[in-house]
Amino acid sequence: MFKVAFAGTAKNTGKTTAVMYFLRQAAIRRERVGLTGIGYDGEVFDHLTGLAKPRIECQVGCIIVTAKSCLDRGTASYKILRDLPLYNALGQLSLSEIVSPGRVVIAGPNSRKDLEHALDAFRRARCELVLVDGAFGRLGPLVGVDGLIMATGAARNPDINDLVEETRTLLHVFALPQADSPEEMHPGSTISLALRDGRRKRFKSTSLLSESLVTKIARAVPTAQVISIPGVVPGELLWLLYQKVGEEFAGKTLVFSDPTKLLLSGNYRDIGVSLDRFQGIGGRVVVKKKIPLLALVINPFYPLWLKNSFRKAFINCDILKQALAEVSGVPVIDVKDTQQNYYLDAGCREVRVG
Amino acid sequence: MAIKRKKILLVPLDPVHDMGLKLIRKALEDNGHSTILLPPGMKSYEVVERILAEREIKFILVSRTLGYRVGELLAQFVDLVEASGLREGVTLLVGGMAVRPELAAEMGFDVGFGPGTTPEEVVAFIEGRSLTSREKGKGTRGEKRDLTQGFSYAYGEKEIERRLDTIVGDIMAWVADKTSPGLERARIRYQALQKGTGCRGEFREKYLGYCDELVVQHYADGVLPAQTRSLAPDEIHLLGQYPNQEGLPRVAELGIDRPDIFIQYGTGCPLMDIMHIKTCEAWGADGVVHFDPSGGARIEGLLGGYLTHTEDGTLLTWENLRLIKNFLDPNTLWQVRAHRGLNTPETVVLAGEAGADLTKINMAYASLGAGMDPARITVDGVEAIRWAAHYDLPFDVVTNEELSGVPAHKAFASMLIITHLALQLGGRAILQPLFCRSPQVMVQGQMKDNYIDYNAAKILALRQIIDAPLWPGAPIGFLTHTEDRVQSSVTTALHASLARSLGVEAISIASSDEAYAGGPIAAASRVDTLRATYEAFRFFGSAGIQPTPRAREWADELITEVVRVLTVVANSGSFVQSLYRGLLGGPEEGAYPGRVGKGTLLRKETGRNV
Repeated sequence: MFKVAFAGTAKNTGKTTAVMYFLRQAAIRRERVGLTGIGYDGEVFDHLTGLAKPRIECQVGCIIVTAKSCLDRGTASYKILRDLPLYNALGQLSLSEIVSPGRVVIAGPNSRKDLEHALDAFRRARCELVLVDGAFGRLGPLVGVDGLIMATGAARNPDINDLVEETRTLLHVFALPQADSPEEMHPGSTISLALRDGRRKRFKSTSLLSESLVTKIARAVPTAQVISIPGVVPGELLWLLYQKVGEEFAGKTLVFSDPTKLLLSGNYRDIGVSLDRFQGIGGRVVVKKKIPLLALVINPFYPLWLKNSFRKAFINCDILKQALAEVSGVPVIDVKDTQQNYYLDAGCREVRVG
Repeated sequence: MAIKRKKILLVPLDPVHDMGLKLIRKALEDNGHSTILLPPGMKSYEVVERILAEREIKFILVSRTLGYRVGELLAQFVDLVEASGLREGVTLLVGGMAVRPELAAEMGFDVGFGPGTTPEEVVAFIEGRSLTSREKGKGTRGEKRDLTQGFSYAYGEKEIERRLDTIVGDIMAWVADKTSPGLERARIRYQALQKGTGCRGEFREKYLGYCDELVVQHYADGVLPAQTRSLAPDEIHLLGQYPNQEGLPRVAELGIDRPDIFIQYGTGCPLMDIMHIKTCEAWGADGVVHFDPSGGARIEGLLGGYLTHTEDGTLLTWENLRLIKNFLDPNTLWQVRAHRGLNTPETVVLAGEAGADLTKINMAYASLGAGMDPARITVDGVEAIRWAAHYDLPFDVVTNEELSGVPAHKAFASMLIITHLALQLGGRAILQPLFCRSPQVMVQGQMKDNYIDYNAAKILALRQIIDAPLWPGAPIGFLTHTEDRVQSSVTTALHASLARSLGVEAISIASSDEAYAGGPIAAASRVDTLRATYEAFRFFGSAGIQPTPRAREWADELITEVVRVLTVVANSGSFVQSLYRGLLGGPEEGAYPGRVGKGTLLRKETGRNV
């Protein structure tokens, strides 16, 4: 089963539209598809902006995990396969099969553990491909998927130059190499430093969450070889760490759990600058678990606040696509472009052109 | 069972505001829970660091007024909690003005508390229980009230009681040997419903023998009146898709004594009615009143089936009533009116069998303001009261003839006659004085200075006369509304506050566009007046409205005039003749005894026309 999540760098970057795009492709290929989401999608209007949202259309045979209270909010007919021991803000979730095509509203599991449970339910329902729709810029629950498609665009930043720079950081983070040495793959759950003398210095915290912790770690770096931070790393604190460590970092390795831990705080700028500097002075940055970035999906739309309401606004999509394609090693897809058809190849576990 | 003490972290993810969380903290601590309230202005990862430092936190309640980008900030907070390995052990709650369950789901929270959430609701959720009745407040969704409970119906004015005895004795004697097509249809309908046959077989033949041709053709050939059609099965099926009440916003309950609030529905379509009813229930209506079409009241016999039509008022059919009943909240009071027309006793039978809580009966209004022949409606009205007593249905006695121009004291005299009649027949009446700027008041000037004194006078007078429940209507503030929705909502709310200040049991309110809709009433305009009324109740709280001494003067005048009118009626020897002669409201006051049903009374023994 190929599990693909659609995450966004912000709200309204086109995650759901991207899901629909690949869902249609899977339907053409007659694949048994599972669909869920970690937010609330498929509704008519956005609850925050009041603007129209893309609807989710499912074909017969599609398997969905959503809140039971949402099943009748769409037009598709369904058969509940079984109730799941999972809940979100809209109530209990169920595993259902679409029996006549139509629209659905998806509000699925809201945590990593619950998503794992839902993915297991899809597996037992013999799904070949599972699409997980994201929410806002959330990444936390998506660690367990086989691949990620990131949606970005003007809703993240309407300035194309800034957007390209942020996307470059995104790509950089997902391209970080896999950790390989025993010291790098050390399974500790808290921040720890593998020292040159073979000992290990451990801290109580999992995440880099305070300036005082940054100071303590920085003091130990001169005698360390590998610095492991398994939890969250806010951009400004990573930058602070670099400022305190500086050239002492040459020849040493920074280890993170997975790319999402660097992106959760949303401060791409400081993350990007910090990684460039660490690597620039001869340091190595790796992740214990790689999450393949399969493609970028771009969206020129953004909601513009004007005269006390949100209006639709757009940047130039061609310019955006070209600018991102120049820095990206993965396909950059405009789902509205009908000249090329991309699809998810469950066998090869990648995005391909049909 | 003792509630287990919980540890809750309260997080204002906001630069400045934390007032809501402070109120919730107090409620939690009053219930024995341990709380930590973080200061505003903390960054998300600083909050997460604090969570990591604390032990045994099971609930994290986040508060923030939402804006576009702020949704991302809150979603990011959820991600940080997840990535820090904390997600599985805690329940994440979010609250704020723009929060809805759908938004909470989108951001990754477990629960969302929207506007109007009370601290008690948060405490109840954390303790894993429902709200108690005390927490919900009096007369709210948890309880359906008997409006007549606790009233003795004892008379404070014995002169009035004596005169009523005379008048009611005359009525009972006069109706004793008479029947009518309406009366007979009610008995047939009752038997058919008891047998579960509906209008079929032997019951149909008997029933149609007392019906007008339109109704006969309907049952024989399926003919329907103009502008009327049957609802399609899939239209009714779609109702099942309607979100349940929990999905609709709820008005915060006030926890203060207040009258039950009734709204009036009757769009012509029972499906639309149900939509309006559910909207009103969600916005705090305690009861709903079925309005049927005035035209149907002038036809002998009731149609059958799920019927909708384009006119105002929803057709009284067994099927329509049962459909509406099925969708009512179990604690919503439901009134089906039987106060005019040729089908009043049968309507009470349908109401009783369909599960209504109340009905409405007033022969005087029906004859003086609704076109009914006094003799016919008196016979039918007495029977309707007997049926109401049979089903234990309290009924209000509305005094809408005031709207025609009949002075209040005459309308009150009629109301007291009906009330006394109910007492003799084992029924329970609720007095319904009008809170209105009636034609009489416009001419006489009692409301030149304010709307308070004369309405208060009515209540004071009635309270002095009899210990009975009072339910001003219908609706309150009638003829003070305009096309301006704001003005209509304000006048409704102020009249409601006056009613509450006077300690009445219930009120009927209109939508803000009801007087001037010129067509279908909008559901949004129903919310207008419900919200305005609740806000006014909140404003006044336990404080009241003080009438001027004129109210007492007018109350005394009303009592004196009621005694005078009842004396005249008692001396006339005939309630029916009093109606014909205008003693309870005459042409000079805009009241004309009606002619619908004239000549249709039958002698019980012979079956011949009276």
